[in-house]
Parts: sequence; structure tokens; C-alpha cells
Amino acid sequence: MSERVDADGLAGPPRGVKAHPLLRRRYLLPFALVLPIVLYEGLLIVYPIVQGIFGSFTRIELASSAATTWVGWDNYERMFSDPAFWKVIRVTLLFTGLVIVVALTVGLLTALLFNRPFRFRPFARGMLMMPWAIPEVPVVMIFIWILSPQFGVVNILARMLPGVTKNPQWLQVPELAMGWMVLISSWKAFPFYSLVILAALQAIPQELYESARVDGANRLQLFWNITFPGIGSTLELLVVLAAIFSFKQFTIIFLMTGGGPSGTTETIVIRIFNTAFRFYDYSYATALGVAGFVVSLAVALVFIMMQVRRAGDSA
Amino acid sequence: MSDYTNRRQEGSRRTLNRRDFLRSASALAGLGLLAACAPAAQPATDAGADAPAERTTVRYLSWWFEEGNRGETWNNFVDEFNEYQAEIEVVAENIPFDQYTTKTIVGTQSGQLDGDIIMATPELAPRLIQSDLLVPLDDVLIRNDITDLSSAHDALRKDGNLYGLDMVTVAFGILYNKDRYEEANITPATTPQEWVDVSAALTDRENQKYGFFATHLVSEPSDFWFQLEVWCMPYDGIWAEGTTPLLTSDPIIQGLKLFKQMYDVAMPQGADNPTGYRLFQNGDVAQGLYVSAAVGAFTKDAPDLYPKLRSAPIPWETNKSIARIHPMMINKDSEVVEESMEFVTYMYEPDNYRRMVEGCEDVIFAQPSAARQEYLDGLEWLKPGFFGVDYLTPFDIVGDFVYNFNEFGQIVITNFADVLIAGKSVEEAMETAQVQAEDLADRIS
Repeated sequence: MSERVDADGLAGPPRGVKAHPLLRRRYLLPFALVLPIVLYEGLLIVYPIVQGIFGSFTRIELASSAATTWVGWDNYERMFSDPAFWKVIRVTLLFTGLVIVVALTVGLLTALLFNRPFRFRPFARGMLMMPWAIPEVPVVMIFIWILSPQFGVVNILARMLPGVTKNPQWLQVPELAMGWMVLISSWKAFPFYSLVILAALQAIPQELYESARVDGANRLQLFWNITFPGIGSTLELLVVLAAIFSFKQFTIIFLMTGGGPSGTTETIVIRIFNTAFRFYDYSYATALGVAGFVVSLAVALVFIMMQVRRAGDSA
Repeated sequence: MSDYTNRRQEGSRRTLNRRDFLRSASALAGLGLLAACAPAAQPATDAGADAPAERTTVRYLSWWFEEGNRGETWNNFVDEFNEYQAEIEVVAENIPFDQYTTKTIVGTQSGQLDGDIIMATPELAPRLIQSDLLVPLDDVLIRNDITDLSSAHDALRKDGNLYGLDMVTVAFGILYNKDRYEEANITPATTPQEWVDVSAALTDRENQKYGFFATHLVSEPSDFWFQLEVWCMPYDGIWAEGTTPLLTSDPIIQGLKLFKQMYDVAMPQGADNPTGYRLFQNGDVAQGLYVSAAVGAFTKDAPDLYPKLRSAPIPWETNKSIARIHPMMINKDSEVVEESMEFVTYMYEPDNYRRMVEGCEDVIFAQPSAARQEYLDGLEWLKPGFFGVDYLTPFDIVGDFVYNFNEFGQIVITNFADVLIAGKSVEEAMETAQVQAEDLADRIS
């Protein structure tokens, strides 16, 4: 009697033999297995997104008996004609761009450092992960103390600089506040990037370096012609991840500056929160949320396109 | 024996294949499901006929169950009520103050008002009353034979019914550390400009000594607006009338300029609220605008400071300040309205009410006849700053924006922060704020 083997290599009943009901159900198994995640994504991600998009076309007054009304594109018209919205977009792009540059540069440098053998390297690698491992709220509390104009330890260092005679208001001066938000966010994020880059560095065959050295390549040439191309795809991925992570950074900015001073650290997620839960302008906040979603989606699409292009090149 | 059968037997000898795993997993899941659906385990011994009847649970939501002696007093009253009778179990649920209003408003939007008994701020209360979410409480007054309720309750009435009963009215006053005044040989100010001068004289930035502290960071919006609202008082202004914002009016501009002067000469700039509070506890900040309800907290938080606390007279001609009423209310959608009413009635029984006010070390009695003179005389910090002052309420100073108090305040503080740190003039900042507040008025009207 012949035997049938299905796609996953498991034996089915012989031809001509009617499949047992349980066996037939087996073909539904993949669907059953994906059902929980589909339900989860549907209820907790897709539904809120759809609800948010719908809400952006309505007017909702919180704690009011007034009915929700359809306002069409009003919230979007208001958003595009609102100078504050464009300021928020500028701040978001600036913050995101700076965090990508700072966090990835530091991540790359530390990865290069930790890729070299030295004493206590495992311990040092463990320590490297500390900023990433500490939750954001304690980090904020620590930095609020470090930057306190009254008690902050950083004031001691600042006052060593010529011309600094009083404690700077680190989070009250617009340029300084943005600088600190970028530094703290980058400090918190760089160990993750460093770890991923380190893994990519270790995957580069050592023979390439040996051959290049034999050919007389110097360190810079080694880095530029072997290391950098070797970790190129990883860096591409990390740029996209860093863009997404910094784009949605909320805790650090919200707790340290609340978007101030003068809106100089108010990124779009902070603006959405403030609009929804401080101004209780819920409908407008959903329109801002949709704008933020579109930007995130665009970044994700860029990444997908890059991946597709890379896959095409490899083929 | 066919290959098919052989393979089945061979498969059964393997340790665990996919089918076995799935079968076991389904069996376990089924057992779990059965266990979850099964009735709760019964105690080993029969409860018996003489067991106490099950109590009805009443959820009481507030922000103050962890607030020093206020929290202690309220927790004691909840316990006392639960022991006093056998049918009702009041459960205290604490929500941090910063989240309270937002949580209540958003919760209401997403379904229904949470909790059975809820405390409200002066701004949240009218919003809830206007939205018909509450039960009338007139019956509590009848049951307790109360006839001298404070006039502040007028704002809690709608269509002749009373929807909230004040459990704490807090009044703003200038609280100072008498040691700091004595060291600097200073007497309390009597005009706004003298107040600035006094504060400047008490300030020595090099040695981290400051004459005054008020919250001024946009990252602490609730506290910032909470304090800034008082600054319309020095020049007898109001923030809005009806739905018309008055942010560019002279008294408001002058009041905010006064704040800016204080910020420049006497405040620990950039300090957040906990830092300011700590500096005051340490004696490094000499004075601040404090609400009467906060003073009692110093008995626990700073017992060394408490005996040194005194209040200065209101340093402006009108002798006006702001008093904020915080009413207890009952949710209309509660399933235990009658039981909730029992607790509110218990708390408003004059003797219980007096014990509660004294326990919290509050000074404004919503039932004036319940006040005990010996108690008031024992509070050294009470006079003159918190006594004999003409009080206005938020309803009087922000007009119809009282229903959107936080949004209005957010507009003011966001723009005023530009004056403090970005070099904008008060006039320019309030011009922008006025436009935004007018937009808000359009939106909410």
C-alpha cells in the first residue's frame, strides 16, 4: 500500500482511505495556531488604530453629555494650518536625527572597543549593558538630581569652566534641554546598538583582515573596506530601529521637561499626550496620532524597501 | 503489518513528537479551562448559619489616603464606619492627585464614572454636575439636621439639588518660617512691592537660601497652575468672565509681572516641586504660598519646622485669596447608592465632621457651627494669613472656564513659561494665550 507524505513530512493515510476527522482537522491546525495572535493584534492594535482614525474625523468632548459629531477633515485642516504642529514635527525630526547619530556613533565605537581582547572584557561587556537594563523612570529620577540647579553634581563640573559663575538651569534653557534629552536618550539606548553591532563584527571572517594586512592595508582602510561593509546591513537596520525608538520616546522627555521649555523638547508623542490629557482635546489628539502613525509607517516602509532591495541584490 | 502501522509504533516510542505535544497541551489547556470554570473551593468547614451576612462593598475613591495625617484620619474613619455597622464595607481606593482628574474624566468618557463615592476638586465637581453623573445629597442634610451649610456649596447645586458636600476647603495664604524672618530682622510685607523686597532680602543664592518658592515648571502643570491661579489676586483681577478670557487685562498682566519679579529675585529657579518643598522643610526657602490643608502635613513631614511656621497677612489691599472646595459626591450609576449615602451621612454628622476636620488639621468648616474655638486657637499659624481673609472660589475667578479649568490653566502656564525662561514679555505671552483661550471658549461653548 502506498503511503502519502504531506508537506511537513508527516505521513498521511494511504490513498483511497478516507481521512479520519481528527486528521482532517489537522489541516486547520495552522489557522488555529495563528488565531490567538491575530485576535490579540486585532483587538489591541488594529482596532485601536481604526478607532483612532475614526476619532480623528469626529468631535469628542470628554465628560460631556454632548454626542460625538462627525466633522470630516476639520481636525486635519486645523493640524496642517497650526504652526505649533509644524514646530512639533521639526522638534521630532531634530530629536530623532540627533539620537540616531549620537546613539549609533557611541554604539559603534564601544562595539569596536569591546571587539578587541582585553582583561576583564566579559565584566566590561556586562557593565556596558547597564544603562539599557535600568528602567526609564529611575533613570529620569537620577538625571533630575544630577541636573538640579540647586544640588546637581554636574554643576560642580560646569562651574570649573571659564565664565560659568552660577549653576546653569540645565532643563530650563531651550538649547541645553534638547541637548540633555538627546544625551540621556542616547545613553539609555546605545548599549543595545552596541551589542547588535558587536555581534555583526564577530561575524566578519578574520581571513579578510589577514589578507588585507598582507596587502598592506592600514587600520582606516581595514575599517572602511572590510568592517564597514561587513556591518552595513546591521547598521541600516539599527538606523531604522533607532528612528522608531527615538520617534516614540516618551518617558524621559515627559518626566524631565514635559515638552518645555517653550516647546523645544515637545516631540509629537508628547504633543499627542498633552493635547489629549492636558487640553482634553481628544479628537485633535487622534488626528495628531494619525500623523504620527503615518510617519512611523513611512519609516517602516523605507526599511522594508531597503530589505527588498538588498534581497534583490543578493539574488 | 503495514509501514503505516510500523511508523505509528515507531512514533510512539519517540520521546515527544509534535502530535503528542499538541495532544498533551490541549489536554492541559482543557484541564485548565475546567479548573477555571469550576466553582471556587469551599472552606473545609461549613460556614454555618451563624456566620455574618455578606457586607455590601462601597468603593470610595480619593487621592488622600496616603497623605500624612489626612490619610490617617480618613483611613481611621473608614475603619470606624466599617466597625460601627455590619451591613456595609467601605473600601478606600487611592489615586494619585496628579492623575485623579484625568483618570476620572477619561474614565467617564470610556464608559461610566468609576467608584461609588468619589472626591472631587473644585474644577472636576462642576464638570460632573453638569454632565448629570451624580446623585443629589440633600437627604444627608435632612438626616443630620444641618442648616448652616457654607455658601460655597451654592456652586454645587443644579436645579435646586445639592450634588456635593465639602470635606475640605483649602485656602491660600503666605506661610513663612519665623526663624528666617527673625534672622533677617524682617516684618511681613503689606504691599506687593514690599513682598518682593522682603523676599529678595531673604535670598542669598550663593548659599542656597531663597526668599520664596512657587512651582514654575511646565513639566508639573497641575502644581504650576494650582499656584499661579492665585496671582490674579494682588491687583484684584480675574482670569475670565463667563466665556471671555481676560488674560490681557491689566490686573492679570501686573500679577504675572509680580510673579516674574519674584522668580528673578527670590526663587530657586528650575527647582521642581519636591525640591522646593524640601528646601522649605530645611529652612532654605523662607516662605511660600501654601494652602491651609498642606500645613498639617508638616507635623509629620517636618516636625522641627512645624512650630516655626507662621502666616503673613495677605499683602494686597483687597485682602482677597482663593479658597478651594473639595466635595464628596455619589456616582449616579453606582449599584450601592443607598449604602454610599449611609457613609456620607455618617461623615457629615456634625460631631464626626468636626473630628475629621480637626484630624486633618483643616481650618475652614463647611458647617460653621461644628467649629471648636479651642481647636482654632491652638493653631499658631492660622492668623492672620488664613483668618479673616475674603475668599473667592475658582468659580469666581475663571468664569465658565471652571468646566475646563485644566485646559485653561495649561494655556496660561505654557505661555507664561516663555516669560520665565525665554525672555518673552508678559504682554506678548498673554496676547498669545488670550487667542488660544478664545479658541478654547469656541470649542467648549
